[in-house]
Amino acid sequence: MLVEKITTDPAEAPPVTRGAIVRMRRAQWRVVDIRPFDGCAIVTLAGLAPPHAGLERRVLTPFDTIEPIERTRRARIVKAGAWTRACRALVAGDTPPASLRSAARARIDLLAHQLEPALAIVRGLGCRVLLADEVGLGKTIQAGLIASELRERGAIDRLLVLAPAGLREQWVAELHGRFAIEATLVDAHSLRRIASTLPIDLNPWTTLSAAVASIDYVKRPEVLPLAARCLWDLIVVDEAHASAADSDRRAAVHALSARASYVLLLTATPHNGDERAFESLCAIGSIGDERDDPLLVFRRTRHDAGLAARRRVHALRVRSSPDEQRVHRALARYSQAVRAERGDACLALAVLHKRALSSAWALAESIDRRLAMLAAPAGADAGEQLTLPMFDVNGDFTPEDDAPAWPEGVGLADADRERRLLGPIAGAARAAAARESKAAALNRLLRRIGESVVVFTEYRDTLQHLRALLQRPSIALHGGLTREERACALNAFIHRPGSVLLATDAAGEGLNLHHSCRTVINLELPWNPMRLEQRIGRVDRIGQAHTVHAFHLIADGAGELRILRRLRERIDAAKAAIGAPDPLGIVEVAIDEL
Amino acid sequence: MNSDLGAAAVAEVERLTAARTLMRDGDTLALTRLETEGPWIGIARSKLKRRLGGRRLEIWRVGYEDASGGLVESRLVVLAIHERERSPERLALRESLALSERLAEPVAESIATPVARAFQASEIRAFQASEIQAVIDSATVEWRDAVARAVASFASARLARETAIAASAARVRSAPIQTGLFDRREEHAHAALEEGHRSVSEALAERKASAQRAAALVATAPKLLLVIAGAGRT
Repeated sequence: MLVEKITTDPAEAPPVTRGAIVRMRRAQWRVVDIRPFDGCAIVTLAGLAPPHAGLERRVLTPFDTIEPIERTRRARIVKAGAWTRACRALVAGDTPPASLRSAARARIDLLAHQLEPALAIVRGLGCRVLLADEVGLGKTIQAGLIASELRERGAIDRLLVLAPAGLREQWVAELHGRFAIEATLVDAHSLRRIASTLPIDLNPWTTLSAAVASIDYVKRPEVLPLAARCLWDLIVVDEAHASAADSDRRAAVHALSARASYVLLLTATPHNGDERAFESLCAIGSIGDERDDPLLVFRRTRHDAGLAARRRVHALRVRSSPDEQRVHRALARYSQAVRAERGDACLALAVLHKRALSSAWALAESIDRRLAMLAAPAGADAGEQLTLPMFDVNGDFTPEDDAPAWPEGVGLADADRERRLLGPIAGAARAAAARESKAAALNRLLRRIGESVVVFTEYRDTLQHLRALLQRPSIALHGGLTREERACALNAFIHRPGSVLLATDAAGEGLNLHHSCRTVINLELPWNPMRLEQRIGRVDRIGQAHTVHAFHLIADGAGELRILRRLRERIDAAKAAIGAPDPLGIVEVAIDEL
Repeated sequence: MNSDLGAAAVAEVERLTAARTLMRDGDTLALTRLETEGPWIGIARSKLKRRLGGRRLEIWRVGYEDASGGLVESRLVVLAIHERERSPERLALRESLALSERLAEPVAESIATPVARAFQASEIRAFQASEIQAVIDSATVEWRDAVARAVASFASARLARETAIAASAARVRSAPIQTGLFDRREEHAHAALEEGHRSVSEALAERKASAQRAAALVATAPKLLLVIAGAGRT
């Protein structure tokens, strides 16, 4: 990566080396760095005199002419101020070996646990790191520190951050604001714009020294080959647990990481109780055996980091309305019929029960779609339409909170019988949806709390329905928003104290909301304990000045208590494996007490 | 991770906190100028001169450069040189820093004195004797060992991964194709794939070479950066 020197003019001009004083565009500069780029050289210059004093510029030679200035070192008497400034800078920059060179300049609070991963890298303990600290302990800062440290040491030129679509701006802002790393947000639009300024055969990815892109955009078959042709020196995978299982995401992330000099995997929830998924996560970017290519795992809790735990978790039991109980009974009858006929459909049926526990409205939507499919003429393609990124060229949207397709393997051979069983469910669900008991409980809770609150749910349709039932104005944040809409929603929430943010898991992941809010309400229990921790982690982070409150609304008599028990088992398994935190209720309160 | 790392991180926080207290806007620019111009001399009078007690304070930097001439590791050595005997004595960095922090005002008073300007660079060079070199060498023995260890461990981890990546890329072979008589599309696609493999292999080889170059550091001669001396010594 480093080049020893560049010759500015073949006709006798002396070569330019790092540290040399040069003239460029009629100003004097000091050469900070020289790197080859596609037959040319990128030269980083530091300005020596006004108006460029203290500024850094990157230029491409030979397109910009750089003339070396011969200067002999000569002692001279200087004013006291200049002497003291130079002395201060010298002493401040004096760094012992195997210490961090860039951290002093970074705009971060210095916390020991955040320096450990960067120290491990500079001490040569490994090149792949799994940062699996508890939510809110500053994984982004730790990744930024590693990136800036490796840059400072000349060990990396190209940095690629792969993050969920909703976190791209946050990454760009953090890298710029805290570490002075100018990263480009890459999507179809920006890539097209870059490509339009380049020769036709030049890969636009190669022009980016630091890029932030969504995993779902990069994994696309038309994007991945170009991104992979560019050799990345450091790859940061944010929310890496989402790329853990066998999937396109995992394949894309691994393909890029396996050629990167350094790989950082970031997740607060590395283990969801599934050992295979955890192993798959740990193998991202691995190219040898554990001895040749060790994975450095950092898993610190608030206790380890010396931060007091100030979280109170409340499990609130909500009594189901008669209509809702009718929905659950009807759904149980349908499930029984399917199981009697198919036997092995338990897992598929669970999707319908999840929808029912989210909201009666969500279940009604799913049942209506099934009834429409059953009503379609025989021979019509009853399968789901393939989702193509036709309306999401930039990878802005997050489809995970969309209503799931009707589960494969759920259905009866006799369509009339199935219609007869589904009809009552749909009717009862529509009736129950008008007065959802959890929405009523939420209204009561919000009246009590009276400050900014984040309400999480899994599905977008539940969120939209809930928004209509709430008595307080609310802001919606879901996976169907564009970048601009999303930024608008977050801005409104942050700047309006006392507001209610309704968010889906998919849209809320990775957000930093701890400066505006301290309360999280979970409308339903997610079946994955990692999601629960992710939700609470939006407000329970370093910098949160108040005690955090998390409320789980648990439907009584609807099977949600069974989920609670199952979640408890999975959390215990994850706790035993990696010391995962416990996001479940420790204080149980009936909703009537509110 | 291990407790060594935890202890090192705590020490690092202390060091960085101390460094931050010294950082001011504009200091980096002053340093850049110092590095390009040559040693800067501050002239001490009255209180500071008394404090120096007939000694001259010199701040030297020893370092290691990489193949591109960039300073990658450096250490400051502060010497107090007795003007008469010319025998250097090593000061702790903290001591010199405390001194330099108190310099501004008295130096500003003395700098206006024309006689101070008689202090010439040639005299500074005259003191760069083997005695000073010997003191600097002895002051940096441990540091040089630590640099060698740190550079070796950082570079070996990097090189091990680069070597493994290059080996893994070399194993990738595109499947053989049957060229069409008229339809050359598959042939072109295959050629593009091969070209892609080739360019990636070249880039990987260059990255590995770069990691090897980065591991080979060259020690630089000690460089005198700052001097503070009493006024009127000439």
